[in-house]
Amino acid sequence: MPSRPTLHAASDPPGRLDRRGFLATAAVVGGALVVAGGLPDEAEAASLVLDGFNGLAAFVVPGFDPYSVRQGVTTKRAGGVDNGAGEVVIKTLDRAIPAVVGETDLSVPGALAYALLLKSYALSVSPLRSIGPFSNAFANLTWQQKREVLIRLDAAPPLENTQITFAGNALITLAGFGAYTEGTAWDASQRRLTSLPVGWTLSKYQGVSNGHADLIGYYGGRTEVEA
Amino acid sequence: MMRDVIVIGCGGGGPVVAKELAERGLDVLVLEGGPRFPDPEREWSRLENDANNPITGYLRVGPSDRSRPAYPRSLPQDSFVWQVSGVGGTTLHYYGNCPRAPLGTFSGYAGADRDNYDRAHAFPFTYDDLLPYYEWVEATLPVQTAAMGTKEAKFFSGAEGIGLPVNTRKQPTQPSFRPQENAILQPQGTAGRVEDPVYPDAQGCTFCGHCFQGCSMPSRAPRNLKAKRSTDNSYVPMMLTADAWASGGRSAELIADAFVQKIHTTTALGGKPRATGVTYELPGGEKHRVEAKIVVLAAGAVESPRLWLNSKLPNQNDWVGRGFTDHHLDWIVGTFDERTESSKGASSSARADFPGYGGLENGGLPSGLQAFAETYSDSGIVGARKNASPATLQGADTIGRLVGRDLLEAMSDVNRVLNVLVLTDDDVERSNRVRLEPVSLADTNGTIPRVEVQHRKRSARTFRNREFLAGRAVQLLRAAGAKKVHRMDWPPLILHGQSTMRMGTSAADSVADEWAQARAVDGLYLADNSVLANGVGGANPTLTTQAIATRTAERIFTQHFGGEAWVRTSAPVCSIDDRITAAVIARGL
Repeated sequence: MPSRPTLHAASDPPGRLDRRGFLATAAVVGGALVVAGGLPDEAEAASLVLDGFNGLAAFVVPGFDPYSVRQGVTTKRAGGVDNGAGEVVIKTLDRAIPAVVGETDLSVPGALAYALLLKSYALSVSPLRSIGPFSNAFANLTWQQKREVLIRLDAAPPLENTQITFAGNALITLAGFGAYTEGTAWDASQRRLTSLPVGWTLSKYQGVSNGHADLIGYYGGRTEVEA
Repeated sequence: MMRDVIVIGCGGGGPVVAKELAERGLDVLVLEGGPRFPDPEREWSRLENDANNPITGYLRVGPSDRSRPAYPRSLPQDSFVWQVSGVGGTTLHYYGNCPRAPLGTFSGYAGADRDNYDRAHAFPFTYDDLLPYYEWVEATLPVQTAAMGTKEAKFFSGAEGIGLPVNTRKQPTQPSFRPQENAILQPQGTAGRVEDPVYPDAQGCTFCGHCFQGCSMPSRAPRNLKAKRSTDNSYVPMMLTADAWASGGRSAELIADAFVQKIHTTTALGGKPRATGVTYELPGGEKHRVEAKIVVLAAGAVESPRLWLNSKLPNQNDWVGRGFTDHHLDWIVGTFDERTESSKGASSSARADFPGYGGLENGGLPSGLQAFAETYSDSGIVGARKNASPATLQGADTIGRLVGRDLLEAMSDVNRVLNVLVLTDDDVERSNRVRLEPVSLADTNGTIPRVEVQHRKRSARTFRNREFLAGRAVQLLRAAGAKKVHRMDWPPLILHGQSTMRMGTSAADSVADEWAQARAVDGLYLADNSVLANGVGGANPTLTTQAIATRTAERIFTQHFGGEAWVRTSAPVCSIDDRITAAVIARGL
């Protein structure tokens, strides 16, 4: 059996985050690893993560991408996946939680830890439907089944009372945020937008501006109050 | 070299102390753990993920180098502490709202509704004691009456519709509504009237709608004339140029990316510890120790108790870090057929006050943050079986996260929504706290802070107040014409972190005395939101923190440096004074 790699966040060392601090988390992630069939190699991990969070992005803001098609809820316009919402979630989780220690000496970045959790919950909701074109079982579910996964995550957070409890509740929120921001349309190295963000089209947001002509005046004509 | 004063933290409070003491000629060193943004017009994209992603954005709690991780916090419940490190601190993304604290939050209050307040944790002085300091800060920033755009007009129509009277004074004494008194310069010239205003034709707020991404408008305006009076635009330029505009003034020294890791003390035999200085670390790991006569701790409601505890300073009554108040925020969204222009203008220029309960304010947001606000909930997904949250609809159509088609519908036009933020007058509760992570998780700056908020077990008064205010918000939105109203029931989204190093009348349940001096350590003062005695009655905390910081500066000057008090005997220089502008331009600040 080939040895498994130790995975860390793509560009950040875990710093001094102490392994002891993640004992409670380790049990959960370890359990997810077992359910998910163990820790994948790096290529598989990348696919598992991307499919998991693109599946989440399609759930929160459906469009006409393959993930939306698979879940059976689509729209006639591009949605969260096309705005890069999944990638926003991945980058945020990896930065927020550089390393989660699993059942052995293996450590995984936050996005992989939560992708594994989504997968393990998906398998428990619908083992049959979990099989499909995407490497993460969550992305293969119907929209209603995804909803059930996220209801369970909301109602009984798997990482309760740990240092990273907050991240479970934040999954949907980060996906919603990513779907309606500039997302991957922003080229940080060139400091420019490469296209009109999909989310801005969806919300009719007019984008960054130096000003707007929306000054009406002052309520009651008062520009100052009495002391 | 022995400095007169070291200020730890360059956020909402620290620069106030620094400016006041620099103005009077003291040698002040300000150490800030985050970045300095010297050229925000070029540095800040004002794109929401680039700016506000709480982990990766330029307005986060972390070092300048964004390739490095954010400073970690342990959050063992659904929650997020949304602060900002850097010169300006959390005022970089604040809305600039400057209400005074309600009368009932102060000692000596004898109004008929006094039992409606958290009287057990009142400020250890009267409102009249603090009033001159409020007025001083209001003139310095300056605080002005907010201008009105479409979303404010909509809010006011709703407030009128539910029968609230308008308040035309600084301090509400009954349920009422009003334009915000805020630290945003009123629009002049082309500001608010054109899409691309440029200084000097445009002055003050340009209605760009980017308060939360940092204020860099009007374009080409000198730093101290940017519209929002976050401290990077107001007190910091003043403290850095004090020699230019104050007779006998001496410019403060500012070092950014200097994370203070320890406060040093010395203890005479049989005496109390006395602060003697600090050790801070620069990027790359270089450490420096600096001595001072006085140390001012102003690192914020999370980092101040963390630093205290990591420095192993005394905590005999076990109140360091305890009593965390956060206004138990909630968010109510109304969707409209007509335009509200919610993404435009100063983000929150209208409010309604309910003394004894808290307040409501409008909150305009760009697209991504609007979606963030509509998907963050302690009640689970809309329509699903409910979580254990005790919150109820209070007349709204939905409660919980919006997802899928519900979210698409609610987000179909960001300029046809009106948001109302619920600011609960919440109780000081001992169990809500900041402490060191007990399993010894550490980053380079020491054991990380753990923020514990038992939000589903808040006091009966806190819960009552939040539900009451949510109900009033729903009514206001319906009266304004909303076709649907969604209650989010946010988990703790801690934008107003307060009272973790609280001042109080009793030594048994406070960290600081009535002068904001640490009870357990001589020569150590507190000057951020952590020193607030209570939740400020639901009022946005910055103005009260700044008023107290001014009072603290005066105390330091008179008690430790033999100076004369000034607030009752002189008039302040305003931060937009021409002398300051000239110095800012001349020095390239």
